[in-house]
Amino acid sequence: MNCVQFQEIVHDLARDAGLDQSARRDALAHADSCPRCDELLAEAQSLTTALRSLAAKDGTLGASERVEVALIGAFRQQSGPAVHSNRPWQWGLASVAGLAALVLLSVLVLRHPVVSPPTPIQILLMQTPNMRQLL
Amino acid sequence: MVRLSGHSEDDLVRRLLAGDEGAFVFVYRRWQAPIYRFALHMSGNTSVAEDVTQEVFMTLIREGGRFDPALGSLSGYLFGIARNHVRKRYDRDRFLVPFIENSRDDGRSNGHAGRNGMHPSIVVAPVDLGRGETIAMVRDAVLSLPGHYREVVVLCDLQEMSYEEAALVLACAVGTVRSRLHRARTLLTEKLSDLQSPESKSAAGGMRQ
Repeated sequence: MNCVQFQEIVHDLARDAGLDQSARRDALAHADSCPRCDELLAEAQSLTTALRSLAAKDGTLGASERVEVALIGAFRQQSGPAVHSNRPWQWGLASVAGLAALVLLSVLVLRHPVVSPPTPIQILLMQTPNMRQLL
Repeated sequence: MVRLSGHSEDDLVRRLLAGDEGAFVFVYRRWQAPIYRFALHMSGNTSVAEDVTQEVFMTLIREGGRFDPALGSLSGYLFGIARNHVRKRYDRDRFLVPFIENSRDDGRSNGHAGRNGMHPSIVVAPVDLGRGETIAMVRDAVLSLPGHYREVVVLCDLQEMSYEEAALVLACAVGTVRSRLHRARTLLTEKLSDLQSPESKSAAGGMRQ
């Protein structure tokens, strides 16, 4: 391994990630024989330590209780009637039922037309057939 | 709550979408803190971090049906949503640290524009660790990175994701994550070296001579 190759993998080496055992062994051997690359590795390892320190310091941080309360409220609202009314199959079923009821009603009306009761004049005409002649 | 710990992520999301509040609370409590810290390290602002966390889980409530376990883990899905919300917040608000995508700007200060950590003639001093102020310096240095470098550092180094997991969150190739992280860490080393006190710099220089 030469210096250019070492510099390409120095951060993988410092993070102990993305390198197989063979590459890692070669890189460490190069660092042992090259002071400049050894110093680069030390820097990269220092950075890894620094970033892990930051991650550890912030490791207990999280959103406040207020966020959880708000989200649970939103979840309950979303899971209530509004959610059920948003289910497409229910809308479809209601539409089909409404259409069927409309068709049934139309058939009934056509078979049994509504006859309005006769007016008093019509009753009079029916009772006195000669009235028309009189009029 | 405990009984849910053995369920698959897919099952948890199905239950959550079916209105199982216990499943939602379980998912929230499992992932809210990492999501919050991701948003905090990306924005440097606790209010933004809280808002982003809330928006991520609101998105899960409304659009959780889009989660496909065949495409990745639930945490990857949530971090992907968080990333989008952080970017939206930056587009909307001015106080966030700039998020520069595909920029040539590598975040160097003008005084060190010619310095490259890979250059064989210049060796920067090791970062002086072990002091409380170092963590604050590291935090500031991370926030000063351009967004596409910042997010790989936050995901891989602060959230300890693998390159593969980070690539799923960022919707890019594993090689892209690796090369961005390499560049980001080189920039961080330079920035932290610049932030060191003159005394420690001269001491480090004296040691090299």
